[in-house]
Order: sequence, then C-alpha cells, then structure tokens
Amino acid sequence: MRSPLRFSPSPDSPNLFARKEERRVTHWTTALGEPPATHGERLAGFDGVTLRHFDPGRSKLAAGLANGWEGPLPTSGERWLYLGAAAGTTTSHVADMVGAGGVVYAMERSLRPFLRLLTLSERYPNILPVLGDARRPLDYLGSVPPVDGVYVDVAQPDQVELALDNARTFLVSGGRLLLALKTASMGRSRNAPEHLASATSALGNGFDLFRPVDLAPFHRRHYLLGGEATRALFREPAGTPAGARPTDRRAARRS
Amino acid sequence: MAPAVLLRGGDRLFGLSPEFKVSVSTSLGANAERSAERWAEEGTVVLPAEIARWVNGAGIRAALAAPEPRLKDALAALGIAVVALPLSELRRAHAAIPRAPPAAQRDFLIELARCEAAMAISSPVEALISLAREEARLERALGRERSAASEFVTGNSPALLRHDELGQRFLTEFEEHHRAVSAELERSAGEVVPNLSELLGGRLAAQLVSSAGGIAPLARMSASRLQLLGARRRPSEGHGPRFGLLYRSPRLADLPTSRWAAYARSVAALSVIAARADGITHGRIGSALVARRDRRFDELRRRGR
Repeated sequence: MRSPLRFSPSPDSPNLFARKEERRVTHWTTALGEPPATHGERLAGFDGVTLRHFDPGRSKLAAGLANGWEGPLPTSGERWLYLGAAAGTTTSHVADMVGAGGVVYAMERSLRPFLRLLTLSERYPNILPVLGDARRPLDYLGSVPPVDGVYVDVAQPDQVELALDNARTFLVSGGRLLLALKTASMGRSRNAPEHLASATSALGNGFDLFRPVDLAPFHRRHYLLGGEATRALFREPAGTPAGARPTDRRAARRS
Repeated sequence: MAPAVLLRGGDRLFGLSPEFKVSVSTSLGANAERSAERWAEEGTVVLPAEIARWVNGAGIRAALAAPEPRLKDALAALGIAVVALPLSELRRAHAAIPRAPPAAQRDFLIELARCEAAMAISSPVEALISLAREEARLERALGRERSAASEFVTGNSPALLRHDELGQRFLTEFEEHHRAVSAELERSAGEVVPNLSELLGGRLAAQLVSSAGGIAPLARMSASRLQLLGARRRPSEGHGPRFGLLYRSPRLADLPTSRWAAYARSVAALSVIAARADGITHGRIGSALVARRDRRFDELRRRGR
C-alpha cells in the first residue's frame, strides 16, 4: 500500500508545501486558478485544498527550491513585479504563493507568449498582465505600484542592470529581489562562474544577498540570486538616471 | 524648487503638488474599457480637461515633471516642457499615488493588455510573423503525418484498408490546408517585405522576419548574423554552423556541396541589403539583387567541383 501523502508547509511562505518523496523533495503551491492546472502539471489534494506541483524542470524558482535556496520567497499578501513572465508558468506559482490577498504584475515584452499570459490572467484572480519592455521601467510606472518584491527572469545580456533599474524604481524600502540569472545570454567571453561573480558584485552594493544557488541539473549555467534591498540601492546611481539606459542590445553590450 | 508631478495610477491621472499631495485627479475615461482604449491608442494621449487646466495653473507650468514617456509626449503636444525627476523624488511621488482596489486595477490592466495586444497584432508585420509560425508548425505536423502514413501496414484485410483510407483522406485535407496557408504566407510576405521575398521566396523571407522578431531588427542585423538566424547549434570559431534558415535559400541545392557556405555568405549579404530596403528606404531593388545572386551562383558553379 502507498504511504499517505505528507505535505509540510514551508516556513517561508504559507502557500508553499514540500513533500518528501523517495529520493527527493518536491514542492507544491496551493492552486488559486480555476481550473487549477495551467500547463498540465501534477495536482494533489491536501487538507481540503488543491496543490499544484512546482516543476523544477520548467521553472527556475522551483529548481532553486529543489537545490536548497534559503533566500527570500514571495509570501501571502504581497505585491510582486514579475519581469519576463512569458506564458506564465512560473508566474502562476508566484501568484499561488502570494495568495488571494496578493497581486503579481506580470511583465512580458514579446507578443505571442503575452497572449497566452493574457488568457491565463483572465482566469487567475491575482495575475495582472502588463505588455512592455523591462528595460524601460518608466513606460509602465503608471500600471505598477510600489511592490514588495521583484522577480526577474529575462535572459538578456543586460539582465542584471535591468533588474537593478526596476528594483530602484519599484521596490519598497526593504523589498526583495529574486533574479534567475541565465549566464548563457551574457556572452561567451567569460564562463558561468565568472558571470555569476560579476552579477553578485553588481548587486552586492544594493542588496543583502543570500547564497546564490546553482540550478543544475534542471537548468544548466543558470543561478538563482536574491536578497533584501539596502538603503544604498535607492541612492542616486552614479551614471545615468533610471530608465535612460540605451535600449539597443548591442549598445548595451558595448558600454 | 521641487517640481509638481503628473503621474498615472492605473486608469487615473494624478497631479501632485511639489509636496507630493494630490491636488487634482481624474479618470482617463468613463470606465475601465474606455480608459484602456484611450491609453493604448496610437499617437499622443489627449489629456482630460481638468488635467490640462491644472497643468496651465500658476506655478505648475514652470516646473512640471512627468516621468512617463506617454504623458511627456502629451504635455509636449500642449507646448509644455517637463523637467527630470531625481530617483528619490520619483519614488516618493510614485508611493504617494492612491491606488484603486485590486479588482478595479485588474479590470483596467486586463482591458489595457487586450487593447495593446490587439493593436500590436493588427500590424502587417505581426500578422506575417504569426502566419510564418503557423506555417512552420503545419509543415512539421505534416511531415510527421506523412512518415506515419508511409509506415502504415496495408494488406488485403478490409478493416486495414478502411483504416488506411481514413488516414489518406486526412492527409489530403491536411495538405490542402497547408497549401492554402502557404499561399497566404507568400502573398502576405510579398506585400510586407517585397525585396526580401523576391530574393529568397516569400516563405523564407517571412521566416527570417519571424526569427528576427520584425523588419526593424532584421534591417539592423549584420549579414553574418542573418546567415545564422535559426541555426540550432551555437556559433563558435572553427566548427560553428554555416547556415540557419538560409539552408533553404533558392538554388543552394543546385550547387556542389563544397560551395554551399560561400553561396550562403553571399545570399546573407544580399538579404541584409534587401531587408534594409524593405525596412528603411522602401525602394524596389529586388530584381537587381536577384541578378546579383544568380551571377554569384554561376560563378560558384563554374569554380566548384
């Protein structure tokens, strides 16, 4: 006979559950949408609520959890800004974590994934879709209020800079940043650990960083970084003001 | 002196005094739907009368900040220059705006997203990209179905024959649908990127546009980058890929294999010129480019073994 399913709530986020399986720990979030499954994930019932499997192969945040991420997570009642929401797989889990009292502002730039995000947000009560370019935070200043956390998963060469820009503009003081760092899109002149080191030093001024987590084997050459904003983050940046950086990728790489 | 600030919060516009107190606020439109349409519209936003009056008020006009580019443009249309806002003041102004309850915000943002998406997808380039992706998907599916059909066991058994007939009927209808979509793609590409279509054929031209994400990015691209668009392998010195989508460029297969890379380089160079004509100068140079392509083809065939 199968042993009864045991879910234990995570201490960091009440809507996140962990379950010990034979060889590993899986993570689950309470489903908010109706119908619960958004992308064909496993479902489970526990204590009267439906839980959705948070698949580390499909989501960098889940991979971070599976690899022992100890830093901040979205918790219930918070407002989060999610950059690079794509079709909304991870976004829906972040929305689960902030629960019915919280809101996720889901930003996506490219149209086709955005259309899927739009259909998802129509049946998810707390996902608000925003079509825009994460490099220009001022474009959606009016749509997104100050938020408790910023989650960045954009796979662009200047992902660290745009994460900083958005954090400066939108984070409340003491807000948190989660950055899924894709080193493969940051150029091949340096290897992944070198990219990680440069990202940590760029973020280190503005954030109390937690220990970064390597997302292998689920996502190779990816890392999950994050931490709490310090007051230094909101000081005037030395160079350009927020939102005034070049939008051209090649110009960004040159500088 | 600190400037007054004009900011949007969801579907409302707020005029903030230099002390970040709300001195005027008004909705963009009568309801969420109207506001979203108004904000998503092309061209400059027309500011509601109340805001225009406030902006022109004493002391406001001299020092006014509007960080949002759309509002900046709207003010410029009224002949008002805006000042820059330092980060700390931007954050204070942003925090000072009262927020609508989440349900109302949601109505507006979903409506806005719908308007913006509809507007973006109604442009001919976006329609071409959708069509190109649809065609590529159909082609893959058709290939799968064809190979499945070719492996089907038929014999004299009536049951098997009946089954095969059903499969064949599906395949014919599927092929017909694919042909219709391809024809539509060719036609649409001929309108949107005429030069590139003349040089490469509509299908390949559309795929290049789709892979680059638009005509503008394609026109900005270097020939070496365009040559590898759609390549599955990673570029590297020495043993990188030589073709991406251009593997299917016209007449490539008629050359000896040893000349393929040279031909692909030339075609890429000509394609970039065509893309720039389509995206920037809007001239008609397609036939000249085809002549150059064919000249290069003949040259390579003479030299090749």
